[in-house]
Amino acid sequence: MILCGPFLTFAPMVSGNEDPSELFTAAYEEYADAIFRHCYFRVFNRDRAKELMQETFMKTWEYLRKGEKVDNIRAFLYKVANNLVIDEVRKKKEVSLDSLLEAGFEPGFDGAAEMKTKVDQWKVLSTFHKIEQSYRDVLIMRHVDGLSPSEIAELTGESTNVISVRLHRGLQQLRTHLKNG
Amino acid sequence: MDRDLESFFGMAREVALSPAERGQLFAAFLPLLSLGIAGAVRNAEPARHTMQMSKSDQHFAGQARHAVRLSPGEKSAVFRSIQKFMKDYPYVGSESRQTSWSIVDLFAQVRLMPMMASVLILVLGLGGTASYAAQSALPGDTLYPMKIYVNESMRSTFAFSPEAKARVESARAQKRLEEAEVLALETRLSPEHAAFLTSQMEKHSANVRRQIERLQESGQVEIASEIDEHLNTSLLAHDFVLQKVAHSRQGARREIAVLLKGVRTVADMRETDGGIAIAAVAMDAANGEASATVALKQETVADEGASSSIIARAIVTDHKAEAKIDEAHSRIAAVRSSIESRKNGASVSLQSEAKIVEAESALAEARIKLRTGSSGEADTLRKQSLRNIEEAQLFMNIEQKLGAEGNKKERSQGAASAQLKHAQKKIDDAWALFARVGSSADAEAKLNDAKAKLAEARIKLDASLFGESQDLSKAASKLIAEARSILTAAERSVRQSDIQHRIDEAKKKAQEKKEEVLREADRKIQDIVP
Repeated sequence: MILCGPFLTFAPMVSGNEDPSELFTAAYEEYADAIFRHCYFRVFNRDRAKELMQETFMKTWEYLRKGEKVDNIRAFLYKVANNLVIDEVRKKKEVSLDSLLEAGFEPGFDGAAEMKTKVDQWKVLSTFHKIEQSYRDVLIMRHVDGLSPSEIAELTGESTNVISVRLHRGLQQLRTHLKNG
Repeated sequence: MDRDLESFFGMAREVALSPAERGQLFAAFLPLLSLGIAGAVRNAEPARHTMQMSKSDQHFAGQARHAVRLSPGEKSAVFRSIQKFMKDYPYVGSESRQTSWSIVDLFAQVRLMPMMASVLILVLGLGGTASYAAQSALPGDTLYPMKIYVNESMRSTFAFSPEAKARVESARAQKRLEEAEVLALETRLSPEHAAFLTSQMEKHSANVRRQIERLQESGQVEIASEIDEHLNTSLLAHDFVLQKVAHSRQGARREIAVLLKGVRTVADMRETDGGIAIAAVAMDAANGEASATVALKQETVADEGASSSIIARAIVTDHKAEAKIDEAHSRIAAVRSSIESRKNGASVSLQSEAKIVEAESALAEARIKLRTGSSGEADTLRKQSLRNIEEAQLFMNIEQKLGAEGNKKERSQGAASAQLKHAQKKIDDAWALFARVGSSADAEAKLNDAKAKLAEARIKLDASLFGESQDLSKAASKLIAEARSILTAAERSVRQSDIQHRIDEAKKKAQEKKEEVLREADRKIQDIVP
């Protein structure tokens, strides 16, 4: 109600009956967490992941607002997010987890989370970090985001074959690290 | 996919945004959505300048009225955005599970507080900007009542879980103290204000305590302890700040004394009320060692002149060290895999193998030390492990250069000798451990057995019976490993009570420190208010 004031301002009417706001709000509701999670495991920084998620949705909004049609909003969101993350990683030249910590720069934990979850999350992060980047990315897309190999192929512009091989090798590496850790 | 992988990805999938974060991040889009709805402007007929001005005026007015209005679809879309924002953005990370809201529901919630309802209507009428401005109001300002009775009350109302309520009330208590400090610095702290702020602070602190008890009862002991510590530390910090302000604004001394007395009372109450009890219970409840380390570190947090609250970084420190150990671990794995990938892997000297085994055991010990609180020893062991890895790599490089082939006899001799040396080192360590931990007939028997085997192995080695020597060394190593695990288990239980003892010590020290601080404050108050 405190917000009602500034927002119920008068505005001219929309022409036509397309209302991207509906679609957008629904997409946010459904996928905000997933996109955030995707970015988090690729940039190892909670705050940056939140920003990237926001940017993803912002870009998607721009696209929708222009009146463009989007058949599969989920695929669209992941594509935008993937491009943003690639740019980010290219800019930042992968930093090791260790030096991140030493710079006093923790990946960030949700303040309200219980300690056991924090420990778990840290283990997941550091394990992911040990895996080669190209394998890690597809592992995240397949097993955290739940995308199919063909969706991943479409998203990254690689062939399904290449994706399968990376998945296989990625899982191997993961198994090794989990066994030793 | 096997279970380990499943559980790994399961944990990964649990990462999510908190409701507060979701709401905050979505907030950026709200203004856009309103604009978006209004994005495409309907082509209203332009006003025609005709001679019949009045008619076209009317016509234009009609058009304007028609155009400048939200369609029903737009209205509900905007409102749904706001609903969503309201749902996702409670003031504190509360667990409100309300799925459908309407203004009616809102009033239903506050129906029991008729004054609140009328104030709400007032707020709606004002369009919300006044309530926003009230945020920085101080006692004596016109908008101050709105800050306390509207803004803060509303946050309190929408905090549903005990945890959320506790955090809200804690923030309110601290806010009152901040306001007092600012007022005093501006020499606006009247006796009435001082009395009011003190009683409000006491009221909110009591509310916090009540919620903490509820949290304890419902088993959320860690959160209860965290909130308790946080508030306690803040109160002490404000104590110091108030004293400092009193020194620089002599005119406000009496009023500040009132506040200090209030803070002292609350802090005191909280101690005897079982603030310590909470910490002890939290330690039992959680995974023993990890939270024990946290508790130990929190106890030694100092708050000299701190103007903002301090939250223990213990967890991060532990993880930092743990991460380093993991890194060392992966290096060992890398070295191992490079051994395996060599074509003539079988001929890689056992010397490097032995070094790697040493590295692994040092690392395993480092982990145990870390988890039982000896981070210094853990780091030493970790570094030792790294040195072993480097030596192993060095051996491997040398062997490569000299060529994989060598005298078969020499290799066996080297292998047997290395095995024996390795086992001897292990048995020395095990005896040291035995000396520390004490009685275990089982472990002792195993170690003695191993000792005998090693003596025999030496004899066989000297007699060039390398195969037999190696077998005996291996058998001895196995026995030593068994003995070690018995002893480490025994050690762990000794450590538990050791930790307990250290926590008690730390608590006593913290208690003494607090008492000293309060005595200091007392003395200072005596100076100010004789």
